[in-house]
Amino acid sequence: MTQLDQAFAALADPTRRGIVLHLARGEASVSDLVGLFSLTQPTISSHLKVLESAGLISRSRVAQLRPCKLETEQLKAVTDWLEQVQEIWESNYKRLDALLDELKQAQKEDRKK
Amino acid sequence: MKPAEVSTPSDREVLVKRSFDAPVNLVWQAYTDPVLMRRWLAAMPGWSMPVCEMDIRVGGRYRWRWRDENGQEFGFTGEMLEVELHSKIVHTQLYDPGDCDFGSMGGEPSIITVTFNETNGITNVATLIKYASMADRDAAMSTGMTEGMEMNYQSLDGVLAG
Repeated sequence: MTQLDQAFAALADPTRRGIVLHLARGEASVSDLVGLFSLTQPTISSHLKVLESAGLISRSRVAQLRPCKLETEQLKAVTDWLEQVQEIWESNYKRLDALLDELKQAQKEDRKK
Repeated sequence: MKPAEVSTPSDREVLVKRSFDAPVNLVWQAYTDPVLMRRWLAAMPGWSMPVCEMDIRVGGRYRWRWRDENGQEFGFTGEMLEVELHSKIVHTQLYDPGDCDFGSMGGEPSIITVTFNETNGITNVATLIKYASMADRDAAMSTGMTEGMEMNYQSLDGVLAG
C-alpha cells in the first residue's frame, strides 16, 4: 500500500476526517481531541496512529503533551487528486447542462405544436 | 447548479454528486442515448468520442472509445448489471488501453452505480465508482496526479465534510 493509499484509507473514516479538519485550524493535544469528539483516549490515540502512519499528521516528540499537527504536503496530494477528478467531471457536467437546456427547449416547443 | 462534489466513501470507492436543472426523463436520455452521450461524455478535455455503443438492459454490453487529435485511442467496455428506468444504472467498467500508454489501470473491472433522483424538476445524480482493489484505484489515481496546486482549505472543507 502506498502512502497515498494509506492517506485515502485514513480519510475514509468520518472521525478521522473530523480530526484532520480540526487540526487544519491549528495544533491540538490528545486531551483536546478527547474532549472535542467525546471519545475515549485509546480510541482517539488509535485514530491518530492511523493518521500518523498515513503521513497526514505528525506529533511533536519534544513537548510533553505531544501536540498533533497537520502535515499539509500529504493532504495536498489527496486534495490535488480529488480536485483533478472534480475538474474532469465538472467539465463533462457543464456540457451536460447545456445539452439538457437544449432538450428542455425542444420539449417545450414540441408541446406548443 | 452547484459544481460536482467528489468524495471517497471508502478506500476502494469514489463518489461524485451533481444536480441538474432538468427533469429525470431528460437526464436519463442524456445518459443512455449514444447520440446525446457523445455530446457531453469526454474522458479528458479535447478528446472526441468516435465509438459509443449502448445496450441498455440487464446483461447488455456497452463500448465507449475516445480519440485525441493525434489519433490515439482508448476506451471503456462493460456490462449492464442493473437497469431501472429513470432511477438507477449499475454496470461494470473495464479499461481498454487501446494505443494509449497511460499505464495499467488494473485488470479487474470496476463497478459503477449511477442513481437518479428528481425533486421539483431538479435531478440529483450520484455516481459511485467501486474499484476492484485499492491498487486499481491507486493506478487510476496516479494517472490524474498533477503538481503545483496550492493548498486550498475551502475545497478541503468540502472534501472532508463529504
